[in-house]
Amino acid sequence: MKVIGVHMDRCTGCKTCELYCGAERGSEKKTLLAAVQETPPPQPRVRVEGGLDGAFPLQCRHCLQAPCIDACLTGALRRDEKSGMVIIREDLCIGCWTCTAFCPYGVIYPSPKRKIALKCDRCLYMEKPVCVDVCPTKALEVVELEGIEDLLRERRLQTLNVMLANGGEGIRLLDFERSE
Amino acid sequence: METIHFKTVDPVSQELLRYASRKGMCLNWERYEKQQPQDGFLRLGLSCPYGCMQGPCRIDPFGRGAQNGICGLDRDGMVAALLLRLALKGALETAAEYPGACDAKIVWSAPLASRAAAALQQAGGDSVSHADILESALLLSRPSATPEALVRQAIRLGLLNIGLREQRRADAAARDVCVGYGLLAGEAIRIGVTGRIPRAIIETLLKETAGLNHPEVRLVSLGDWIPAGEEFLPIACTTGEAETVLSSGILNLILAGDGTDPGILALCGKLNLTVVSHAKNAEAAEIVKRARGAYDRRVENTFTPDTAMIGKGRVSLAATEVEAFLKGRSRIALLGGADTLFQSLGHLPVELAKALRGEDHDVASWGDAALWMMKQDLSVGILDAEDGPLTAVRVLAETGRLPALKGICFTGLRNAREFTFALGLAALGLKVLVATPLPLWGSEKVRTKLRENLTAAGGVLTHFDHPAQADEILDGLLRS
Amino acid sequence: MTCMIVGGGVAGFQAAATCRALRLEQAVTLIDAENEVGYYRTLLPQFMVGALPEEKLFFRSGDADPLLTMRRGVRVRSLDRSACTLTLDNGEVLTYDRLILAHGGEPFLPGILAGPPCRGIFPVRDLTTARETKSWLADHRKVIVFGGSLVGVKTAVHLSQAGFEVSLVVRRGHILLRALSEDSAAVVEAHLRNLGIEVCVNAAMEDLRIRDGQIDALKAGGRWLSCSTLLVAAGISPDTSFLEGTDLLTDGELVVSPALQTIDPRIFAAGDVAVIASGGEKISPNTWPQAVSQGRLAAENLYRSSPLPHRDWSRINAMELHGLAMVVLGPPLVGAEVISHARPETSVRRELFLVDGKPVGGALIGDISAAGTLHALINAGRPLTLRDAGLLRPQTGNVIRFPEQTGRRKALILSPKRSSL
Repeated sequence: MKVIGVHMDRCTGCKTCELYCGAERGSEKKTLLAAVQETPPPQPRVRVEGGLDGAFPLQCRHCLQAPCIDACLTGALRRDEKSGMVIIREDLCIGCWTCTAFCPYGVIYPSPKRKIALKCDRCLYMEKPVCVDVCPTKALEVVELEGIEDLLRERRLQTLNVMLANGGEGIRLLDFERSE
Repeated sequence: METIHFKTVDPVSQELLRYASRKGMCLNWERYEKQQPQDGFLRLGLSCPYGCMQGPCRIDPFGRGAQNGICGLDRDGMVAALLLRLALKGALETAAEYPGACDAKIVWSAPLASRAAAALQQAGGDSVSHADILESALLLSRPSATPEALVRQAIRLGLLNIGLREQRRADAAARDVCVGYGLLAGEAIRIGVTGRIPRAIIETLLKETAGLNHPEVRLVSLGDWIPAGEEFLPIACTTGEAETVLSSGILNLILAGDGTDPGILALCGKLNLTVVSHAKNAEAAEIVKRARGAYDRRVENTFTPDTAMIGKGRVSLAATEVEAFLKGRSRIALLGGADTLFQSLGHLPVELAKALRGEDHDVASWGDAALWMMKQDLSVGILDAEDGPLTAVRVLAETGRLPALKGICFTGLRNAREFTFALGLAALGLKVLVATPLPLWGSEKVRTKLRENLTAAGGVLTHFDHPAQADEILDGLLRS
Repeated sequence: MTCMIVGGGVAGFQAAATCRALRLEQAVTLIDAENEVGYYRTLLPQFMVGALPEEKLFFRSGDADPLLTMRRGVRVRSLDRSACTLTLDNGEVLTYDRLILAHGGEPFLPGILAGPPCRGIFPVRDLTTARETKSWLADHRKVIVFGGSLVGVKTAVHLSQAGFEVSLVVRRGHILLRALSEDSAAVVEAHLRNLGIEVCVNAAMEDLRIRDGQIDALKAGGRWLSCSTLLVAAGISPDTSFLEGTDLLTDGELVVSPALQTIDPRIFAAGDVAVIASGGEKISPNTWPQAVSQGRLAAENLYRSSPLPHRDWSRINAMELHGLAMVVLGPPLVGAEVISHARPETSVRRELFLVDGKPVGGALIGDISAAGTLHALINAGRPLTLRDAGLLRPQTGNVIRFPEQTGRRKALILSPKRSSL
């Protein structure tokens, strides 16, 4: 399964992902300047969270055991068989907000004006999620979950090499042996 | 590659862009694309412009996040302050451009005096002076004034910008200008000139190179309007295409003045093209010698433009010339301005000029837009790049034919000065359209206040989201 | 080797679906007293007032499953644990290998309604009654909803939005007694009154006036309220009638372990009928999400040598009461510390109940941001930090730092923030 990962060292908390998610996925006209003039105001499906110790954008994690799907009273939330994404059928949603109370990440957003819950569908029918596309620092990346361990491993190796090149200075990674 | 035809309407430029892309050269277009999307908060005006060092405070346009800065400033305050800040910068640039004009009392020429007085009354106070610059700086020190006051002050600066130009009105004779890739054809040592170069250097260079043959030495401008003797230096391309021309390798030396983009200098470095900065006081003979050296070392160039690709025009500088052009015309549109990469280069000027003439309007143009029209052999009036539109307005007002002016359209703004100019023209009661979005979209209140203030003086300032659609702008111009 | 499930509510339905998904060769029989199974009970109020078409009530029906048998419209008369059989009211005897009891409860009706039959009185519980209610309501516009439960409140709001004249009559001191604190209930009551609903508290049902065989007025709290319809939503009582004499009941309740197992290891229970004994307490959350997760867990545990306990006993519920969103995170507790944020002028009240510094419940009225995060915080069972408490502010961000748990992935961090060294 593909997931959106975040390079926290690159996220500056600029909220560009929020702006363009709202414009592209929430608005009628799909441009930022038109979006901000629409009523009800479009809502982004991604949110920049965190504080001084590190901001990062958070969108639906598409949990493998998604509590929101169980909580949904009408079956509007379901898993897309092909992609594995948790998606919402807006025509079935009655805006009871039960799912928002069950999402541990708080990434299902009530839209009281439209009486439906909104969530990220990872831009299922687009080439690339908008948030990933627009991130100015490339802090967001779509990765294959199966390959994530390899990716993390590679990054650790990179860091280790940098450390070795600098005479062992830098962050020590306890879980990574020098022999590797 | 596949988007190259979106970048410019000129097929020769498209070919050059393809060539540069094959060579892996990074031009302004690549830099533009890497910048997309640009900071949305700033585009909306929702980034706080007060430099209080607590920021940056930003307002969530969708109402889900922050609605106030740390100091408590709301979205209207931010957008209004950004407007004033742009106007202040524009006024300062103009003040620097016309040193001395600031000290004198602003005296409006007769045809504009009544309009200026009416506009000033609307914007508070009966006169405008350089004190308004200081006043604006104070207003921008801490957020305390209302958005209404900031909008009024911005309008006053727009008027000041025009007032300063009025003080330094210089009459000069008309000059010829030619533009196009044809200027680069044939065997020649080609010196590209870019930026603001003192006139003396150009004159001595021209004197030095006059009569040189086998090969001849040619000075061509890369988009800037540089006076030389009785005419302008031939212009090879518009400013937006300067890097495209450079990448072809057809030039032998670059003479760079103030205001040359860093990207042009970096590209010269990459191409091993000699750059002479005018600031270094290089002797004319030395410049020619280095150009000749570079020419001798040249490699065979594949870019062989057709000599026929030259557009010619005559720039009306003096009021009398403008008057002669405008005489007896019943529907006039002023359409000009700088290139912007936000839309296909040349698209708006050419399309709009053709459409306007189809609608029985006479078009006068200036800046890059005028170059595009000349390249396409559209017979339009050419105005001075700096003060042209103002001269035209004054002439029309003098002869009582201002109603014939259907609108002034900026197809692009190069700097805050041009923005402030546009704002000032609208404040004088004219219909002004700007083809790029101004950072006012974050606050309906500021947009309304600005509109109300301008409407009271009879003016309109319309701006368009990019890519601006030609038919929308045309509609805005034709609708009265 | 059949797995038998009694009850076709959401718990039973979910259990059946899970059984079929887990054990592909095993047959499942689902027994239900109603003629329809697999509908959203929570949508009945909308359906009754005509705001929702009937076809939208039903779950998506998948492809017909040959190994899943639905026995509709039959009741279980008795259970024989030693023979592993169920006897139905038509005399049929069915043998089971494992049994899940998920037959829910019967609506609780005050004793006074046990008198002679009277038209115009309906419990809010099942689809059949809801259909009758719907047709009755078509020409009876004056409605009393009796019962301050979530269902009662929701029904009252939907009725009032559909243009009915509605009174909400509650036996106790405030509405939503089991879910909200008095302060929070006051915010909701004020909202209901703004919607034009008459709210009567401390009003036990005392008398009925019947005219021409249909209800005419109700005496509650010492005064007569005229009405043409009485809807009863005073909670449910678990239906244990056929379990009498099976030793499964403790004090008349079907008590199960946290793994939903009864004292008979072959029999599990889920949903409204089950009372869970956990850590010396008895819990019966009675919410829809609980019914779903219990139904699934019961099915998963059927053949486990040591059944896994349920992790989340929260009584989370959420509602949209025409402009007032609310989330119940857990019922008020006597003696718990309360921290709250209130903005009465905008009908916002957010509160958390703490015991030993740990959040155990709360409610978000009017502004439900960060509901899911607060829920996760309650489940995490750790003391509330100052930063966590910030989540209670209205219009807040959402993130809390979870204690690392294997099997649960945080937001996927590709590279961590470098801490300053």
